Amino acid sequence: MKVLASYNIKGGVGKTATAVNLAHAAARAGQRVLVVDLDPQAAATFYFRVKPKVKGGGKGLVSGKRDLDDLIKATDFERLDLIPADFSFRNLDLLLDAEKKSKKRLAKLLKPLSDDYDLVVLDCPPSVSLVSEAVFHAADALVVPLIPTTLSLRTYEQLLAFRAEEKLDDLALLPFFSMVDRRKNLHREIVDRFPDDHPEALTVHVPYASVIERMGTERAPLAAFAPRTAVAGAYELLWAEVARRLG
Amino acid sequence: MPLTPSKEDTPSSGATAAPPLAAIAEAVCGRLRPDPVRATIRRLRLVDTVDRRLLGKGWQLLASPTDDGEHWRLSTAGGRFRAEATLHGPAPAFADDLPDGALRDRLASVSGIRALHPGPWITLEEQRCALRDGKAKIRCRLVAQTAEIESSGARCSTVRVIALKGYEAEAARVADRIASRFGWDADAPDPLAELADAAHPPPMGAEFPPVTDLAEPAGHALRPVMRALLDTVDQRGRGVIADIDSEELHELRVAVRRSRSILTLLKAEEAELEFARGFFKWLGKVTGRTRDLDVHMLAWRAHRRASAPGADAELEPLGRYLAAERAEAQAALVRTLRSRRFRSGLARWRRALDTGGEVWNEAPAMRPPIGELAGRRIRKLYRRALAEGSAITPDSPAETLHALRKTMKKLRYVFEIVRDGYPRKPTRAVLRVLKELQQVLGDVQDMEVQADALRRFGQELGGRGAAGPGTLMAIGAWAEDLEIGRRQARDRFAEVFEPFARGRFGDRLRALTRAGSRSTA
Repeated sequence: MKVLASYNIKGGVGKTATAVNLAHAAARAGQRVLVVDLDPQAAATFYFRVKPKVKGGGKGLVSGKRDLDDLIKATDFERLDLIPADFSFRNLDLLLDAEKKSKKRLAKLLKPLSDDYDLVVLDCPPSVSLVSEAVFHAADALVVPLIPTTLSLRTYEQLLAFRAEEKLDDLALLPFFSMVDRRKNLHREIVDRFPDDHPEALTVHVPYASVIERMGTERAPLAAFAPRTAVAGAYELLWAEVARRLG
Repeated sequence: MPLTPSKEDTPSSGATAAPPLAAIAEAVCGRLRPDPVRATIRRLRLVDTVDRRLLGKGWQLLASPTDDGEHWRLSTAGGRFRAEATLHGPAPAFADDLPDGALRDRLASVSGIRALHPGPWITLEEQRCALRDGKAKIRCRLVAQTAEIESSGARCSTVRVIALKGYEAEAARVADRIASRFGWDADAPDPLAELADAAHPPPMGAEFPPVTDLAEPAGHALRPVMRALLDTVDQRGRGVIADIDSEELHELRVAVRRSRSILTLLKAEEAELEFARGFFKWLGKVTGRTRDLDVHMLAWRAHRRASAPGADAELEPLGRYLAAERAEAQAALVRTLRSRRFRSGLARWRRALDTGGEVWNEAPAMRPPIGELAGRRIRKLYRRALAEGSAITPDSPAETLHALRKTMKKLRYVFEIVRDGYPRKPTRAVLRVLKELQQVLGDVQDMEVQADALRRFGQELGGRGAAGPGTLMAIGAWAEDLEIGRRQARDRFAEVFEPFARGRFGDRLRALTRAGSRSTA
């Protein structure tokens, strides 16, 4: 079982769209996928039409007293399940802090699911916190959506520094550009130059497209309602590249 | 959870047809809303091992035809997806030969050395609809299926409520409504599973009835055992002819050896018993070559799997050679198993077991209590094994270990026939020691035989120019590995013989078998 986290310190960069669409693409490709919505905003949960409610709340999730399997909900898509978010996840940091070996807690909780799933996708809240540190210890790779702007790149550098500081050398970083508008000079320049300094970058870019916003009204991954759009195709290709990198 | 509206033995049985799924969905959806029904017709077949290992694990492996092969999909009986793969060309007989991936990994760990055996083609007509809640989230699915085995016309129909993880209660409510509205039994077995049952019937006659009353006269006690063993020979013989799995022949041969062991135990000299002794001796002999080649093929597969990528390619010419040799031996064996000698031999022995009650009950050799007869034989074989084993030194020739192995096999077969008449705990302890010793003796002989055979195969392949230097080196290296393994097993002999030769073990065996004899008095 591989664990992939969709993460960026910055908000509004397309983390949830990435998590949902990659998970859907992976399930369509034959993988058994579990999405874990760790963001109290519960956007991934909303996209999958699942009630944002977890038995026992955040405490139920992290305490280990409740079997994680009991929290899983099937989505409308074959091979794709979800552990929904709950508003109490806003206190996940505190709840984790109360546990022993808090940074390794999430990895420990996910381990028993390895017979049932080939891939776990973690949809993470923005910022660096104890939750993100637990995610870094649980994940094999972070897929990092970046908007081609200076501020967004700066947060990626912060993430690199944090990984070095925490000695998380085994954690693969897979940055890629999302919301790319090639009509903008700045976007083109950043997208073209970034791989020179960051060979780890994924080669697939996800274009800016208003159809992504329809995920909120359709409450489904892109390929389920707009399969022929360029952006749905981009996520498909992105999954293929991520799958190769995950090995 | 399946519900069965109709089950028809034949397509023309005229059973009442179930209403369309849309009507069923409307009637049972409660607060949920049904999606439009989608109908499909597809062909599939169920794949399993002969001993139904996948079914035993609660799995279903469905094969659907594609343009150039088959698509295999593994799921739990409840419909939960496990893995899948698309196969181009003919489907492989062994899970190991599937393309790399989750399906191969999951199946190989369960099927082991067993071949994957496809059942007959089934036409599956299916109607599906999802039931959604007020937020348009799917809460469960309804599936109406009619499956028909193409070759026989056997037909089953079912309506199933597919529960979704986390929403099981909703599915249970819908199933209850179907049961109360239409009177269909929610606990009825899944007809697809019934078809799977028909496609892969459970192994017949693999076991023999336990002998629990050691006071029973030997003839009376052993007659049903021999009947079951004869059934095994008969059933497995058909499996060998169909060539569905190498274990069919193995189990046939075990039944033959057990039968011979019993016939030795019963010293009766009646003509039919003499005939059976000769018949089973012949059968053991004529099945030997194919079994040897089956073992070589299985070992080759295991060795190829363990070899480094690239190195395994060097073993392919050997695999082709073994497959050709095995095909030739198998063809000869099939002729034998279809021969009048085999069929009339089975029939004659069955007649002798079914009739001739006076021989089984009255003949002097049949009258001693089974506990006494078997106990005496076990103690005699133990003394012989003890003498043979004690004489073995590190310098003893291999033949001495082989002779001991044969004695041990005889001892074990007799012991296993009456084991259920002995107290369980000490019996298990005795069997543990016997098994361990036999394992080491088996390893020594098997690895020696295999290494010799490999060298011979290498010479034949080299002589014919059918193998390059890479292949010959790979064969040589493998033979060397086996030789090292044989020496290691040989070094373990003293260690595993010691508990067998220990006075306490002998006392336990004697006490066990004498108590069995006494209880018969």
